[in-house]
Amino acid sequence: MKSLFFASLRLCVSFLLGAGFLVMSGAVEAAAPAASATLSSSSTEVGSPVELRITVEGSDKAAPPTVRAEGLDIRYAGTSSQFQMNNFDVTRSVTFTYVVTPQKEGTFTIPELQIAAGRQTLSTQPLQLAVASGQAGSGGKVGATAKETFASAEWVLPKTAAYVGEAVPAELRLYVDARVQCQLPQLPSVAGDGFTVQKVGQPQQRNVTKDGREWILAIFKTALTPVKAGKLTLPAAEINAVVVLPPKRQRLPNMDDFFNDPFGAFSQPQQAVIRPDPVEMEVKPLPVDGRPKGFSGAVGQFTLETKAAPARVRAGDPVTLTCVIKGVGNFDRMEAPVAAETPGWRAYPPSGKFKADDEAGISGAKTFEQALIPEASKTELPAVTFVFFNPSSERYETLTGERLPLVVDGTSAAPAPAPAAVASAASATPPPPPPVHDIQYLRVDPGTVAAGFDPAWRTRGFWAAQSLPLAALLALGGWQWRRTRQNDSLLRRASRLRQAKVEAQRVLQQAETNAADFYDAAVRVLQLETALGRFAAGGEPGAVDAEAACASRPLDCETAEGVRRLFATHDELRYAGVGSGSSAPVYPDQRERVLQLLAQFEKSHV
Amino acid sequence: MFEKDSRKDAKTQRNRPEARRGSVAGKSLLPVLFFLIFCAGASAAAPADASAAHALYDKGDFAGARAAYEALIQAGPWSANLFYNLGNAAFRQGEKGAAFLAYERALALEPGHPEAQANLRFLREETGAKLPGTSWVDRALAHPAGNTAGWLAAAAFWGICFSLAPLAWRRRAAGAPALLCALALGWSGAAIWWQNSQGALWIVTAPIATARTEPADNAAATAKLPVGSHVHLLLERGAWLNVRLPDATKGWLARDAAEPVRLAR
Repeated sequence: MKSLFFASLRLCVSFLLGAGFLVMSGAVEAAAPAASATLSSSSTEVGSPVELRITVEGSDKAAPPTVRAEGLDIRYAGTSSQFQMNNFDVTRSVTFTYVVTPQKEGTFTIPELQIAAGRQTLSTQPLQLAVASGQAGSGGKVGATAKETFASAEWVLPKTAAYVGEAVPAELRLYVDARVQCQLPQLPSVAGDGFTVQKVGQPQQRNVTKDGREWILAIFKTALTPVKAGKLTLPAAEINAVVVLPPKRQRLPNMDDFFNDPFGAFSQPQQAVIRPDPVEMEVKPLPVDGRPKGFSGAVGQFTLETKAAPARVRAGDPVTLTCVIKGVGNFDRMEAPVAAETPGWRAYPPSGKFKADDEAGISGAKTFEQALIPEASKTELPAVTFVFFNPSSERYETLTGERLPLVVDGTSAAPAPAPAAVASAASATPPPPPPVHDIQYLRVDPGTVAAGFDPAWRTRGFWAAQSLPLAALLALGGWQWRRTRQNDSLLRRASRLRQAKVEAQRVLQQAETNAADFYDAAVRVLQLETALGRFAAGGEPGAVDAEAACASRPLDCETAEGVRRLFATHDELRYAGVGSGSSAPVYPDQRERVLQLLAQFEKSHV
Repeated sequence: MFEKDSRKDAKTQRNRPEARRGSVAGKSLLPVLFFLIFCAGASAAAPADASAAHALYDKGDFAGARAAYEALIQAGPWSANLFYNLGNAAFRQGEKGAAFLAYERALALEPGHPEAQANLRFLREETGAKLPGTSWVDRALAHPAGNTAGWLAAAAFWGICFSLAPLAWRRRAAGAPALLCALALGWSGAAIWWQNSQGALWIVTAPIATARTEPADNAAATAKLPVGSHVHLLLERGAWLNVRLPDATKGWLARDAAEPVRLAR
């Protein structure tokens, strides 16, 4: 029994070990061998060696190849093997190191190398080495003293022909030698005539191998939008960098990298400006033929979605119409979709909000929200249309939004039913919609400014305002007092005149009065009557003559003539002296005529 | 005969244009009334431009609109429309207490504001807000309200003065205008007295406010007041308000359950 147990245990252990071996061997066999060759630098100077490393992965049975190239002294320096295991994934590699010393100036090619690895023959890619004699290379330079290309930049565009207004995604790629410490204190500046440039975002970095050298690649993404037609040169870009270059000294190929560290303590940070080579773009104008009305400059590929809320409102309450335009294009030149019909609607200016899906800001969704207020009965919202130019199809396209249903309550005019609905409603009348209870709409007029919540009589202004009617009352009282005084003096004068008139009339009534006194009294009555008629104008009664008496009131000719004769008789009796008959009695008929004349004169007063 | 003539003359004098002017002192009442009415409606500053807040409201951004209206109110000058629009924004946010308060303030500034009245009616129907019962005396004395009563009283007082002023210079007084003004003065004066005696009006802004017999949380509850109910402040003591409840009884409310209608600058 015991032996049976141990036999089973051995069997299990053997099975597990075998399975593990199979897995490991399978993993090793699964990794196909490959060879690659790299130069520590793709450029150097005459006499300055560089390191060539040939790495064979997936096999440790490779032999170092013989490397020969014209103009280069290439010597084998050693072999190193590496073994890595990661979760049963075993990787084996062997690296052959060579020291390459340029013999002369020029560009030399290390040809494709054949490496025997077990039963396979592997090959490497050819490498180029630029050898300078002391002149600076192309691309990035450090000040005026740099002699080695350590960085370069280039524009990468998906297309070199575009339409005016078309947003073209662009990448500004910066390559920096992996041995160089490089810092970018600021983002690249891109500016140029004929293009609008989207904001350059933060770069994406990764290591790449290019021309046999290790580079750090930084990609700045943006979008360029040409604003005029023609053959345009892309905007000039400048990348300001602070770099620490390796010291200029001979490398020691046989020494470890630690001793060949190019970033020694003696390296100094330097300012550098890297500019990409100019790139031209063919910009075509937007076609004029077939341009629909309502085109506002949107170029790209878009879709339109519309929605509205709420679906039921009172007249005068707003409905928010939301239009979402999604796609790729120049969203910054995009205007809101326009309503196909607006009568009966009060529309507020729409507001736009853009949400980008990419770093360049040319892909995403732009949402326009517009408040529409129905001023009459409506059954649906006005449809909106959006026109844009599609550079792929090279033609204008028009998107029309869905006609969204709407119920407007609180209008006097009921919504007109559709003819078909009328026919169908003949048999069954739908129940009327329930009344919608809601608050009244805003008062958009500014209204009257209120002083505050305190009662008016608690404010100073209220009591200050009372001074004005008080002043008016006092002024009115003063004016009345003055007028009363003036009227009293006039009344007293009129009273005096009337008193004198009564005295004169009493003389006229006395039978024993002689002619002189009679006529004197008669004229006195005329004068007093005239003075009373214009007493407000003042003047003494004695100064009134026949003409003044006649002019004081409208008299007929006979009465006027009588007045003149009365004054003349009076003057004759008064001024003709003794013997003129002044002491003669007045005959009754004579008295009667005079009294009638005086009565007539008094009656004619207006 | 002289006396008779003298009386006739006096009548004649009174009928003459220049003399007739003296008897129309009562007609000076009109300019005074116009002046006082002008004073009552005069404004020191132009109303604030609230178009930006209206636009936010129209876009459905009620929180933004409410903040904008509150900023305008904070900056002044005030108008009933501003408080009314603030009430609408608060209502759209679902804050009925704030909406009630804003509408009541709009009515306090402009008692005849039709939209504020309509919205208050609507809200009261929704919430069942309790209002004090009103007799015909209350209704009569509740109008004219606020500033109108003060200005009407002033106008009536000066109307009486101008109407009776001719008596001072032995002229006939304007009896009918004086009587009319006396009635108006009595009415407005009584309204002012009545409104002052009621105490400050507060509005319940909590969804349900509990009135208690004592200013303590564990005191017996006497009434439940829905949001928007009217109470009149009698006494303020710490976190409690002694108020006259809509049913004319007295009770204590938590201070944070109600807000005064009248705002102090």
